[in-house]
Amino acid sequence: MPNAILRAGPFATRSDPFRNEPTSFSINTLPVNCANFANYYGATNWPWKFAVLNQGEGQYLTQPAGDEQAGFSFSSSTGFIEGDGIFFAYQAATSFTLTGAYEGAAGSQQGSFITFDILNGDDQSLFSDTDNERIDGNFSITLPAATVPYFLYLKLTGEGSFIADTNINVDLII
Amino acid sequence: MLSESEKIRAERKRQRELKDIRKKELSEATSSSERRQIKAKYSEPRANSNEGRSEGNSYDSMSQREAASGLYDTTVGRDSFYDSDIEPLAPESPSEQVLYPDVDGGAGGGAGGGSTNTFVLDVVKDDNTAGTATFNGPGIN
Repeated sequence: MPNAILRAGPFATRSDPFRNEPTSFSINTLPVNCANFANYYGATNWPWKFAVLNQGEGQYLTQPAGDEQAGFSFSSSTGFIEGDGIFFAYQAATSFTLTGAYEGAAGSQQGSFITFDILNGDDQSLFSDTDNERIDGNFSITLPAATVPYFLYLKLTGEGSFIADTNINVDLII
Repeated sequence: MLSESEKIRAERKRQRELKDIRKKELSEATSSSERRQIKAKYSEPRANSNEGRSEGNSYDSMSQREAASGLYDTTVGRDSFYDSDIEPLAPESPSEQVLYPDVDGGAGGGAGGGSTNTFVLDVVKDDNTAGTATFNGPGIN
């Protein structure tokens, strides 16, 4: 039986696990969540938070208590999307499986593509799906226990005549 | 020359004064060790009283002065005082292991004494959900 671990956060950088929420958005400073958002204490006392980057605009979002899925719908008016996504860090006493869903469309012109990637803080690929016109699927990845914040980047990249139906959803209840 | 009844009254008066002094010193003591020292000072056997005198033992100093003055019959001394029915302020310690509660709640360093503080830390539990860990202890050292 693993021991409980001291919580870090509420925000963290790669080099500092104990940060307050920054006064202005920084993609390098992410909220730290418990891997499992299943209980009342966590939902009410330490809400699940994540960072969203869309078309260069960043913001921190707080998940309402009771929601079992966090997500965001990304928009693109240019037919180009790069690095938009959901970003957060987690702590976990034991390894666990993170699940969720994604979708995106990039039109049908030649050379168009749309890609969904999950990377960790060391830019190692944990999951990837890409297609010329459209991607739509579910992901399920095993993540390690982490006494210090483990950074996750769920990103969309695409180019085409248009970018549409771009959504990323993460299941919060393990 | 004092009469016998005057001697008895004087002796009673002296005993009351001694009791008051002892009581005052005990009330001003801030630790159990200090209280033990005061009690020991007022209850030393006569054979060991030299050490107390050299340290300015108030009882002995008083007895010496009284003896020198010739006011009292010094054969009636502290032993009769402690053989009297005057109760001590606190039960005498049967051994040094008996500890008295101090003002600060300490018990001579014993593990069971002292005031406690409660610390609550946020943790990630073994099921990866948020929780708290509560600690009770004497504080952060």
